[in-house]
Amino acid sequence: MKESVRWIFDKLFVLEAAAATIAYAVVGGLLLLDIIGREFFGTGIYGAQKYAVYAAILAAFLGLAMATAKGQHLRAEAMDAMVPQRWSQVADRFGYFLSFVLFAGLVWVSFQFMLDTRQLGMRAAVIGLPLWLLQIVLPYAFGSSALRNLAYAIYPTLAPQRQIEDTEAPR
Amino acid sequence: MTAAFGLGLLVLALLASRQPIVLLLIAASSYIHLVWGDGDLTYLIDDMWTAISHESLLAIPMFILAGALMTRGSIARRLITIMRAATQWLPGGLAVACILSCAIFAAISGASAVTMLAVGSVMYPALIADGYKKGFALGAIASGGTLGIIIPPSIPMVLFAIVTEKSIVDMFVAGLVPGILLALVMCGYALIVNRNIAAKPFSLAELGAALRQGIWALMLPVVLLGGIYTGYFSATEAAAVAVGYALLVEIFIHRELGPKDFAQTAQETAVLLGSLFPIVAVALSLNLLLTAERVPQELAAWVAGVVESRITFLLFVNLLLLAVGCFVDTMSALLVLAPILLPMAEVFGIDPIHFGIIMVVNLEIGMLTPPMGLNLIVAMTAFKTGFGTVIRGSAPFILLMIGVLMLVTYLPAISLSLVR
Repeated sequence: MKESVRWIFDKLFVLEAAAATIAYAVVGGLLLLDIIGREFFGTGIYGAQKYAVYAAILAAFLGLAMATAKGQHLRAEAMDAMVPQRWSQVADRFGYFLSFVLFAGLVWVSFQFMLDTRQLGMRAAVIGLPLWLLQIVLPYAFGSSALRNLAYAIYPTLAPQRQIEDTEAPR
Repeated sequence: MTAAFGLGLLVLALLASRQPIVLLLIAASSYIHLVWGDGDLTYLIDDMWTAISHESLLAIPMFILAGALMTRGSIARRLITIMRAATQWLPGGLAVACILSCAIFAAISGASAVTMLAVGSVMYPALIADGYKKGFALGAIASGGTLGIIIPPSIPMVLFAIVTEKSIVDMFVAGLVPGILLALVMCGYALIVNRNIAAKPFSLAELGAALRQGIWALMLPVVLLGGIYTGYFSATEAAAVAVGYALLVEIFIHRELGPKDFAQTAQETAVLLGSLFPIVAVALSLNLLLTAERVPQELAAWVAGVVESRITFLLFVNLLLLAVGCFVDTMSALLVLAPILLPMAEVFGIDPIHFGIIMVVNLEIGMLTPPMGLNLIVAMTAFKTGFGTVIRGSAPFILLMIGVLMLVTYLPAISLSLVR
């Protein structure tokens, strides 16, 4: 069972990484083409920045799930020492379970938000798509993170090892 | 009062149960919505969505992607070669080369630990081999790395500008002189401490060869900052240009990167931003709520009643930020505190851009202060050494940086002289 769970999350990570990579290529490509068009051909790409914004949001929330998979969410560790070393693993498992509960709550709230947007018939600026189609990424990312945390609470060996040198948000 | 106590208790409980900052902020924001707001949590998500739908935020992923591409390629190595050739005639020249390499790489990557690792992985073994003390070498690399957040382009500056609705370009311009000042002070210290280390003869041929190899790397900060300072392109456009330039140079000129490298770098960037962007979204949504409830304004009025002078206020802010920097990461501290502290600063007539630079320099020092100083932890891990050794090596640099912080704080012209 544990290996099946690991396999599923590995494959999910590959899909999320591929989608995020494409999204960032779109962001960079659109912004560059907009500048090149404006400087050399007198006209940029209509709505390029808005398309880029939505692609960046997509990539960022897929990144949220990927950061959960890699254990790279920023965390203040100042209070970790309060728990004795022998209880550390239990504290980790409880932490993962609590993260699951919180992320699951966010799935519910973001899903409600998405439904509200749909009922109001809101459309994305410039590109004209129904906004809720773009907002699907919110419950998806929270859901993916929730399930990963649940898996880590049940099977602690699946949890990613924290890599200090890679955890930095850029400064 | 009871509700505020409940909020504090919630934050402490989440910290103790090892929750990531993004969940901690979301839980705290939800609590505020439920207790002081309208009680509808979909507004929290709505505010988050609105906050991250802003075009200026595009600068962040693009600068991070550009920095990651250049770290993967050979730009850092080529810059180091130039700096070594330019400074080897000085006693302690290699230490100066280390700090200057950090400063110039910082002007490309906009990131701190990235700068430290890119330069340190080459320079640390070289410094040790040339007879520099281990503590000094670690301190120089860890401290030089912090220049990444003060020398523009800088992601924390972008965040400060977005969260306080100020100009990103003004922040970049204002950061230039303090950044150069910090680099010069660190170089001066390196020269004095290592004055007994033998110099090597200057070789014009060696410098020429290094320049030929590294001219494209060296031109990047010129193109990037020149474009921004002359107003030729916006900060967001500059970030996209940086990505384009990095790809062009590393794929076609240096021939160090291929499509696989781009995919790998984009994936790493996505993970990095996945930990950062949701925090930005929640912090911005929290700010919208606090502003709607007039919390910053009321706090500002209270502080104005308690603190009498501008000098005392600035001293208080510096002490607060130095303390916060010991325990909280730069991004979270900036996102949460900037919108609260700025209205107070404005009450005392402090220019918002100047205040932004003060905050960034403070949090830059926080990267070197135990127990949670990120550069200390990264240096300890990357260079496989004791925490105490890194702290002792960084301590003189911290003192120097506090000295520069005082100058930046009480002489606004250092930050504002270039701002139009």
